[in-house]
Amino acid sequence: MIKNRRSQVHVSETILVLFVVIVILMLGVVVYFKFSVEKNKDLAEELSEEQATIMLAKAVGLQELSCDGTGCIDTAKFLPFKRVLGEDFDMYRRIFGRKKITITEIYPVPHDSAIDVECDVIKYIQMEYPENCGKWTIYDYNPENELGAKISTIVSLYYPEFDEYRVGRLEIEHYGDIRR
Amino acid sequence: MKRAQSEVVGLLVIVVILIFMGVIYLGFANLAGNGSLSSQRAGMETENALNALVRVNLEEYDGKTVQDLVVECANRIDCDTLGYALNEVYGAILRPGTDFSFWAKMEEEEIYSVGVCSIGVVSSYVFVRDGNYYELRLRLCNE
Repeated sequence: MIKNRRSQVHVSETILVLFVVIVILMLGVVVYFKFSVEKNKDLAEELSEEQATIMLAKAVGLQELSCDGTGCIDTAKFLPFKRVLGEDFDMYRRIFGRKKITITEIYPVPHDSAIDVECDVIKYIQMEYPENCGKWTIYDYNPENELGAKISTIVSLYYPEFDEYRVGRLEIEHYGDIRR
Repeated sequence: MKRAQSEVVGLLVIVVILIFMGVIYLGFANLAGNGSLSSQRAGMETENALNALVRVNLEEYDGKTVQDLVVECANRIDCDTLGYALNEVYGAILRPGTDFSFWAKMEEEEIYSVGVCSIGVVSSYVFVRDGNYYELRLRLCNE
């Protein structure tokens, strides 16, 4: 009778220990899974930022935008580039991915009426150009309307129509990960 | 029963140690940041800021460039204008809270310097005018 009770106690002890171990293991797995999901998300954002930084460095040298390898951006190439972009968007989507690339003029400081005004063909052919607008959106692809993070750098802008250099800010808004 | 209790306590100690090690691992895993990326961007910003400065046509100064003003300063014509132009351009293009130091040298002799920046990436630009060799240096730093 006593032997039977002892073995019952042993069995219940073993069950208790097993139960505790299983609960701890499950907790560990859940915590690890949550942590690795979070880490992967961070990694995706980091990769996206890294890709955007590389693009920021390379953009000034892009043949479609640069003024013949002299370290500046040719503003006269923006409108032709946008037209080419419209004709072969898939190719540029593979190059740039889900991003928004804008260039804003910052010196000479634009007039209040021109700040954040998008430059387009109509603005370009007006006499007031380039004082009538202050911003070019040269690429924009955000199919899921996500909120993005922005990185930017100063660029030298060349206006061949007036043989004049100004200063702008090239801004790349990137969205979460590096999906194209 | 006492033996069983001590076994459970032993198990608990092992579990606590494992949890402690796990927490330390997670802490260290989170420490790895992207410091090199932001320093790369800081270097790019300095280089591009100097590159844009030396080219820009200054409307307020008859369309002259900073290179013209450096040459005028080297020829002892006027150095104040260079200082005003630098403050005007960098006041407009640098992010709020960013300071700069600027040096200009002609044939290794310092002809102009301005700014109090002591820590930050330095970028330099070299040009030749009238047979003289000029070097411009810029350092950006955050307040």
